[in-house]
Amino acid sequence: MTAVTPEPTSPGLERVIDAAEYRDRRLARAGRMVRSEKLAIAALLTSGFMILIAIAAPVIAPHDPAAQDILQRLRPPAWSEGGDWSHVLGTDQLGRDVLSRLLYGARMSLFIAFASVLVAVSIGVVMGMLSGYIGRWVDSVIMELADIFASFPGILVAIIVLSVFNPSIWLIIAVLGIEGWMIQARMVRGQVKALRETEFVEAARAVGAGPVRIMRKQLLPNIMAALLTLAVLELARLIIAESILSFLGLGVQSPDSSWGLMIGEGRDYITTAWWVVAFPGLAIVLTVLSLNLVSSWLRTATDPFLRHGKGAS
Amino acid sequence: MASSSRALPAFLLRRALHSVVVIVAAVVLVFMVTHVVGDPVQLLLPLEATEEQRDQMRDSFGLNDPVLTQFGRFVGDALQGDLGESLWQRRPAAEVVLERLPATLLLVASAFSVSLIAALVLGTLAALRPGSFADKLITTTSLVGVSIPNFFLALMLVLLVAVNVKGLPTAGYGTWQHLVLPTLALAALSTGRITQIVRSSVIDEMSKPYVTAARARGASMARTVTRHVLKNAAIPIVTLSGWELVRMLAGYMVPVEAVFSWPGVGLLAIDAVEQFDFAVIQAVVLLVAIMVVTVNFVIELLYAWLNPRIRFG
Repeated sequence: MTAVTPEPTSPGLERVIDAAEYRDRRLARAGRMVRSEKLAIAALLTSGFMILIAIAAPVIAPHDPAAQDILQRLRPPAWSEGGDWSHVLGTDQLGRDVLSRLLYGARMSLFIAFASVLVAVSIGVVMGMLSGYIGRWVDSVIMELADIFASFPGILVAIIVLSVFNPSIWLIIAVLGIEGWMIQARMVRGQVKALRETEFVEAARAVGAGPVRIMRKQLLPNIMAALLTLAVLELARLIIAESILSFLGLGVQSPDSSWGLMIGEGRDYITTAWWVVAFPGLAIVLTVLSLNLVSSWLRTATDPFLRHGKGAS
Repeated sequence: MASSSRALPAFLLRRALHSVVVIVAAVVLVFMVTHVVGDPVQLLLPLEATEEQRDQMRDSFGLNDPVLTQFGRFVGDALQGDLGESLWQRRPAAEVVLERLPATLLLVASAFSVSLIAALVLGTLAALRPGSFADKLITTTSLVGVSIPNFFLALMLVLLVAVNVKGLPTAGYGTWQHLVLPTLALAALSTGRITQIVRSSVIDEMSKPYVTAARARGASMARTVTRHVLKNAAIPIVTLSGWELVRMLAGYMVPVEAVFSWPGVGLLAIDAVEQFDFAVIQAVVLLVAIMVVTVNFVIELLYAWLNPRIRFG
């Protein structure tokens, strides 16, 4: 067990240790804080960077991501033998620029993930609010519905739906969003149930606020922090889900680009042209890892019970 | 005691009913997607087929009957194990799917056992000395593990092994060597997630008075942890592990089977999509839904056995 430094609790206790020791302790604690925050800041910056390149893709991409050039196919990255600076990260099996496809892939993958989270959160908040605030049979029906949805094999439902219909971006978003609302609904319901009986909600009810107003003005702001934490975590999960669908050829279709699609199309060339698969793969890992870190940092930062305890990781 | 003997059957009945509802929902979904929204004839006949040919085919499939009649026939056939004819293999779809089942079950069982054992060991090790080097290493590794899409990990394993390790096959089925890489690829994500929950629930338990009491009585740390702590920390671990097992069965095995040409249900589903073999896709989705419902039911039983409050409440 690591020794826990006792917090100075009262001025009386404080005088027992001398000023220098107190300063050392404070410095040590500040150092610990910064070190754990450092990781969170790095994760936040990485996520921000990914969002930035996704937005700026059309401006910063050096080539048209769909432009094929068979003469230039499977060129290695610039720094390795046979590569040159016109294709910094090399080219794929059709001679398309990997860097440009990576940037446009970020745009596509992040857009789909954000949009699906939005769908999932919207359905989840409405369902969870109704369930938690009204209670009774509404609660039973919604929770049973959530249970049924949760027992459905997610990827396989996506496979059957996306195989019958032509996979369009909007269909992917709908499938992923509808598959993900249950977790949000359960969380919102739990929070609303706890908040329903608090004084400030009672007070709002007493002055005549209707259910919709109470949900919007009293309940929603109070669950925002928990909702954001969960949404970031879901964002990470949905980036992986989209990459799986696109990897299997059921998601984003060529000539559009997405990280999963790039890996799926490049997998036959992996032993001779690692860069076609490795860069989009690293992009997914880096983004998902940062989002996971941001989410766990948000949880500790917004939960007063965890803030002073050992940092959850 | 009298109430317990009544409460348990009622609980079981409620869960069994829920399982039936989920399977009915799966049947309705499959029927809706393949018969009502999508038009099988459109997908089966070549584009140049005449309207008479289309109508003839609709008639022979009974697609001109009222929807409810079609649904009745679909359910009746399904109950007799008839899920239609695979147009690609010209055999009953149920037969095609069932012969692929053992490979998937073997892979999932292998990956799930590996994750559960690894997670229990690693999670407990990390929890015994929070903040230590071992803890940091395990926590970081599990965080990376949950951030890698399994198909990317699978491809990286192929790349690594194909270059460095002779004698470990990277594709196919048959010997235990074939099982190694797919197991690793499928197990990584759930190992990471279960490790995290084992760590946090063991840390929670370790701070409780009974641990101090057991240690004070002279019980060894190993005995205290295996006899008391893990048992009391079991509920969140069982819940999450069940989720992970369902996720593996319900879809995460698909990309792994695709990368390693593992002849399971997931690879079959992908092939069936490419062949427009809707009877097989339907059969896969129904089979997986039944497996998922079964696993969920077993988890509920375990849960009730571990937590008397659920059983009797």
